[in-house]
Amino acid sequence: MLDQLAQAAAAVFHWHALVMIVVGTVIGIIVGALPGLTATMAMAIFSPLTFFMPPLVGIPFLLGLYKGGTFGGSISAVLIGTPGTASNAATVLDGYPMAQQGRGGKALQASIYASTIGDFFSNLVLVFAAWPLAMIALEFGPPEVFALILFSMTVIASLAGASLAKCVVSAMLGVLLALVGIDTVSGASRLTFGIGELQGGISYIPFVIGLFGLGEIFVQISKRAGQFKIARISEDPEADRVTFREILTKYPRTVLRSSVVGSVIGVLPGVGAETANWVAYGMAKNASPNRKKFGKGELEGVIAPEVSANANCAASMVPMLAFGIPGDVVTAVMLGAFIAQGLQPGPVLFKEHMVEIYGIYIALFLATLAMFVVAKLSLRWWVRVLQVPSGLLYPVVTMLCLAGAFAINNSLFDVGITIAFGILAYVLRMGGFEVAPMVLAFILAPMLEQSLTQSLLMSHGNPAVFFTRPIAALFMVLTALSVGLYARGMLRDRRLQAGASGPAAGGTP
Amino acid sequence: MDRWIGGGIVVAAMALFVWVLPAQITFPRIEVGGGVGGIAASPLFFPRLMAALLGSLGVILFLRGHSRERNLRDGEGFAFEPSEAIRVASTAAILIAYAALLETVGYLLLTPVTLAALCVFLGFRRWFVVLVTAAGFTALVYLGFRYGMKILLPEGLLD
Repeated sequence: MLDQLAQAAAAVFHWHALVMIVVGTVIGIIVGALPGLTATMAMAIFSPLTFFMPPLVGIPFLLGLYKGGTFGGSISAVLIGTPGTASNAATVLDGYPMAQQGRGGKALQASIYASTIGDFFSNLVLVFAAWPLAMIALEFGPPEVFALILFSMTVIASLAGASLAKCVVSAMLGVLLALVGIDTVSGASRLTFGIGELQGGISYIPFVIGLFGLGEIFVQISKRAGQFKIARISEDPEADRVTFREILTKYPRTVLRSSVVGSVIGVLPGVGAETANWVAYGMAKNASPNRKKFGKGELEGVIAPEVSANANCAASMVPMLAFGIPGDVVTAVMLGAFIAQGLQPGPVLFKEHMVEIYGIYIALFLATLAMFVVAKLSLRWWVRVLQVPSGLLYPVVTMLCLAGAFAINNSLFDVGITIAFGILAYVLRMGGFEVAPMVLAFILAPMLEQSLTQSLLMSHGNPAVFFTRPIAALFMVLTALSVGLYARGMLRDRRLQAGASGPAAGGTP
Repeated sequence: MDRWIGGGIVVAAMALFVWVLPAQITFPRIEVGGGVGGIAASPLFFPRLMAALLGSLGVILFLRGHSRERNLRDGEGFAFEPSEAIRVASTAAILIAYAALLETVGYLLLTPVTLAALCVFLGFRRWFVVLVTAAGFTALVYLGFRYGMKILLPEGLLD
């Protein structure tokens, strides 16, 4: 073990890896800070770059990108009142009023400290939770894998916006797209329409670059966003500052609670930081003696969502590393990068690639440190980043998307795939469909099909195999509970809506 | 609008189930173990299961859209504004033309022109900045690909 740890440390502390962590963090913060550009998009666009690096250089780069991108969203949330990413949406509620009151510097510093604390906590959760879970997963046979994936797919329902049906339709499309290519069980060619390039299936990275990169650009272009009004940071640093110690001593409960909330939500497959930051904000508001000041520029209202958003980062990698199932869309994209590096996430990774696992652990803490240092040193530069005109930014990102798609296989066909899925993402989003369930289903479908087929073959076609083995039965019960709870919630919302609209409609003359 | 989307999904799912899947998956069916196990081993089983699920969801969307439109008539549906859609379609057309011409014209010649065209199309007309960005971006990506990742981008006319 010590030998493997030493090998991992030597690889990650190499200047090449250290530089790439910092570069990833800087790109992540910039992308996160710019509204319309997300950490998922950055991960999709830049992951082809990592295919040409050793695993313990490329993956640390992506970790820096992920953490930087998650923090970066708070900059625009505070300075322009628009969250850079959905993970920082709740930060707007108190961060932006603080900036308008001339306390933007204090809000941003609080955001840096809070994100660092949450991030550090999340790293510890990953280090202590992933290995035991992977050891349990090693005992899983096809029925357990099928039941676990089925459970994960029901949790995808939590990504549903206004319509559960549209969310599931999006997921079904993802499943059907994943079927393209050679069937792993029978060897049959499926849905290739005679196109040779599709025999190996739809290339994953061009697919996600199209959905999250180009699709997002199309949506932003259609909005014709103008220039943002940016709040100023006070020129007097003493009057507009907060210290690390102040946050830890004045708000220890909020920090701890938000760290736990962010990490627990991160570990659950399908639920991401965009949920965690709202939950943490709501809990902080309810527990605070200053709850009436929330929404008007309360510092605790910045700390809680920021701790929680970054506490989600490494924790959301737990299901990906332990089970091979992505915790959210960012880790779904990251999973593609792992596979391209020859690292198949899942329990076997902990048996055969412990050097890489230790390297990832070390890189996580280095990325947290990089995020803190880069964010602290560059605080006053972010105002300039936000001033980049969209008419210049979007064309550059668009061309970067196409270059990234080409890099995977030196293939113009992949560029076409990216453009096609970019257009599809735009059309779907305009129709009220989310694209995230499509990507998660695209990843999970081959595993789901394979485990279903193998389970039914080993049981001679008897579906009772999913209910007679304890772990499989447990996940099947959890699946039923998840569906039941979701249906109950929807019915309750409908009843509340009916109750709210009834008297109003009746009262209107 | 949900009614139309739902109807479209039902038609597509039926076409998949009845026509596209059997036509596109021509491998002979494998009989292993018989019963459900044998069916599951067929490469058609899972795709057809998914097509059936998709069709069911289409029916739900259709019925829900139908009742909603009857009750509300609030114009819920696609958020397309014609001018927005034209803007996106034009951008997509530029990108499709770029992909189609890349092999023939080459990366070094076509990329700066496309990038500049996109900037101008999106309303950014500070020419010096556009030219410097287009040239700088193209050179950076070309050199990064060629010497960093050892990938040759299409040379086209410069070959």
